Amino acid sequence: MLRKATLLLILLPGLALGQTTAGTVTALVTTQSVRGQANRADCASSTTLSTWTLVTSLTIAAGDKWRVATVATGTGCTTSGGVPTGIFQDVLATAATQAISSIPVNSMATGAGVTSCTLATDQDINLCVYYLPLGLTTNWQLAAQGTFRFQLAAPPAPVISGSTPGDSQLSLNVTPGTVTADYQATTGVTFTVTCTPPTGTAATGGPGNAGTIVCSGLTNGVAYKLTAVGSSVAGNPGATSAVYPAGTDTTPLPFADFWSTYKAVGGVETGGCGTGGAGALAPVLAVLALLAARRRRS
Amino acid sequence: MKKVLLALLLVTALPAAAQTPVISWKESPRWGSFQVTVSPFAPNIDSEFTNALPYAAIFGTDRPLMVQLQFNKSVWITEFGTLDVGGGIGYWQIWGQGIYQDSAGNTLRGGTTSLMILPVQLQAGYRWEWFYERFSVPFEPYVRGAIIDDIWTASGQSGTSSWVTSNGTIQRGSGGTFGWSFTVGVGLVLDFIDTTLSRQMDYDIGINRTLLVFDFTRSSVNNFGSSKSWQLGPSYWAWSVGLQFVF
Repeated sequence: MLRKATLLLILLPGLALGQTTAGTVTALVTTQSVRGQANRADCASSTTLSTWTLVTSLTIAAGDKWRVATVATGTGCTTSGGVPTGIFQDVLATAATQAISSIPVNSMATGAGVTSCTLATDQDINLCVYYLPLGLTTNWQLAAQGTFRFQLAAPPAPVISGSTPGDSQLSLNVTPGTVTADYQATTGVTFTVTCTPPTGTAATGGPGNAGTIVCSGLTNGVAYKLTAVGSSVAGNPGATSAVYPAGTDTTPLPFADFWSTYKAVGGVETGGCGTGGAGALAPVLAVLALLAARRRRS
Repeated sequence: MKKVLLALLLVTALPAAAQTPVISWKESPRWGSFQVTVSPFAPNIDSEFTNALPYAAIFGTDRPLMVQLQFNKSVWITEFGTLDVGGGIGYWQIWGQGIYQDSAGNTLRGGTTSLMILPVQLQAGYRWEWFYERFSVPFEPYVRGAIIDDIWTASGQSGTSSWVTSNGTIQRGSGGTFGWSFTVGVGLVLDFIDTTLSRQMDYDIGINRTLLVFDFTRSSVNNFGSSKSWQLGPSYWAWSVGLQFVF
C-alpha cells in the first residue's frame, strides 16, 4: 500500500496536467506594424520571423523552459495529456514576462494546419506557450495563450470611376470593387493608383482610402492610362482595376484658377488690405465683446 | 346660527382656495440677442467687366449658402421696441474648375479652385416689439445697418492663388474688402405657439423670446466705391432666413 502511494506521488506531477495559468501571448511579425497578423508573403516565407511576447505570473527557476506551439482556433491549446510538439526549439525561461524572438512565421502556419498561404479567407490561429519546469516534459502546463491572424484575403479589383486633370497632376476617383470567390478583403483596404504615359516612366499615387487619390509629378499635355490596385490591411495586393483609357480627362494641363482668370481679363482687385486694413473689424469686434462681457460681470 | 353657517362656509372654501395655483410670472431682464441665418449668396465680381465674366466662367451661376452668426447688445429698450448694437461673422465658399484654352481654341476644364469669404460686420438695428407686446400680434419688424469687412481668399491647386503682373509684382489672392449693408425684415415670434413652454425656457435658460426671422439685405462691398476694388456684394436684395434668440 505504501509503495503504491509512493508511486502515485512520483507520478502525480505527470498526471497533474491540465493546470493552466491566465497568461497571455502576442506575436509581432517583423514585416508588420501591427501585432497579431501576417500576410500571404509572410506566411509563405521561411525567412520572415516573429517575436512572441508572453506575460505570465509563474515563478521561474533556473533551467525552466518555454515551448511554443500553434493550433487552429477551433482546436484550442492543449491542457492535458502529452505536451504538444513545439514549432521552434524550446527556449530557456528567464522571467515570467519574456520576449521570444526569431520564430519563423511559416512554422506558425504549418503548426496550426494552415494548408495554403493563398487561401481566399483569413485564418485565425491560437498561439500556445507551455511551461516546462527544468526543461522536462513531465510536469508541464499551459502558461499563456493568444490569438493570431493569417490575413490571407486579398481585395477585389477596384474601379476608377473618373479622373479630373490638374496642373501636372490627375485626381482619380477610386471605388472598391465587388467581392469575388478569390478576392474577399473589404475592411482596411487601401488603394494605389498608377498613371502610365505612352512612353517613359509611370507615376504612382497613394496609398489612400477609397475616394480621390492624386497622381502628381506628371507631364502637362500628355495623356495617361490609369490603373488602381487595392492592398489588404496586412498588405496582400489585390486584383488590378480595368485600364482607364487615356483621354482629355487624363491629360494634365496648366489650368488657370479663379484668381488668375480674373486677373488675366484685367480685374482691378490687387489683393491684400482694403481701406483700413484687412480684418480691421475683427479686432474691433473682439474689443467690443470684451467690454460688453466685463460690463455684464460688473 | 347665521354666523356659524358663514364660518362653516368659509372653512370649507379655504382648502379649495389654497389649492388654486396663483401663477405670477415676470419676464427676466433682457441683455441682447443671438441670431443665426442662412442666405443664398453670390458676389457680383463680374460687374466690373463689360466683355468678360471670369467669376461665372469658373463658378457658374450657383448661389451657395452663406451662414452668419450675429451677437447683439440691447442698448435701448422701450415699450415700442429695442435698439441693438453688435457684431457678426459668417462663412461662405464656392468651388469650381480651372480653365485652359488649347491651341485650337477649345476650353478645357480641370484643377480645383475656390473663393472663400468670411464677412465680419459691426451693426446697429431696431426691432419693433410693440405689436406683440401691446396686441399679441406675433410679428416684429426690424431694420439693421452694418459696416462689413469681407475677408476673402482665392485658392488654386497649391493653396492661396497668386498672380504675377507684367512688372513682376506678385499679387496674392487674399485680402479684405470693406462695404455696407442695409437689412429690412420681420420676425415671427414663436412664443405665441406655446406660451407656457416659452416662459419655461426663460425660467430655465433665460431666453426671453425666440423669433423666426426673414429679411432682405442690400449691400455693397467694394471698399466704398474704390476703383481698385472688386464688388463682393451681391447684385440683388439677398434674402435670408434664420432664428433669433432674445435673452
